[in-house]
Amino acid sequence: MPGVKILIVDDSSVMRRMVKRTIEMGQIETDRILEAGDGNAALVILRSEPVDIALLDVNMPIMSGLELLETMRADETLKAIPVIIISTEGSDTRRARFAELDASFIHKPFTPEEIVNAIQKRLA
Amino acid sequence: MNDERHAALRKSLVAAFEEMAFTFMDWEESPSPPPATSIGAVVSCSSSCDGKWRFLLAVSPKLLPTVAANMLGLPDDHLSSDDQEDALKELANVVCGNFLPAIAGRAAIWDVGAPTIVNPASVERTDDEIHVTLKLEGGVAEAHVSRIG
Repeated sequence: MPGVKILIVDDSSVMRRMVKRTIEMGQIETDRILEAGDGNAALVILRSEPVDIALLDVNMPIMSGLELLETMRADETLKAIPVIIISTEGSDTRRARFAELDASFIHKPFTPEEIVNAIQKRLA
Repeated sequence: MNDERHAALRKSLVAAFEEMAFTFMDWEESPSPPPATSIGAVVSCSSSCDGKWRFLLAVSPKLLPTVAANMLGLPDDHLSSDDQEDALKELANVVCGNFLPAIAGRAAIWDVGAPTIVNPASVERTDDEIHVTLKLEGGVAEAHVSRIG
């Protein structure tokens, strides 16, 4: 998996840094790790710079992770990007919606192995 | 019902501190009373079937820098106050999110607001709130959950 470009979308800078650190310490060779604090900012990045995979929080201001995911899946240029949702979301209805939209799900709190394994699986 | 919710809140609180912040329960007996909490994060949640709820996570002063440092993998003295507050808000978000199914099950869809930093003393308490206090290595963490509407 040489030089992948990863986008982390979370309104918490601490969580973005925790996920970034987990990726950097895992066996994932990255080209760049990009960050966005909400779905709208993520879309701006996605439309200007292709990424290999996106890791999304759900509850965010301006545009939620689910809205971003729905927008990505409806967009010809973004719909094939693998997505992993990282959230405390406990609703079966919402989790089913993530699955419908072909997004993997990692529950917070997560282990480093869960993040690394999920990224490796989606990029395999 | 409240016993189940109390157990769920405790489980969520322990999991967040142990798994995200590598901060564990302190089982040692201490003759002195636990320190008071001085900073908190409030999360407001609502669902169409179970109304509005308020979740407060509060910690004692010396605990927060340790917790934030552990979450970020940095020394305490490399942390800004924003880092510490953001760490507390994220912990509150995680504890709250994991507790919500104990209120209305896994079918309910919740709207969860962004956490805000507060002085715990300024948050009005209700008689029927669910409340858990954890004595941790380095301080105390409290969670209070109240129905507000």
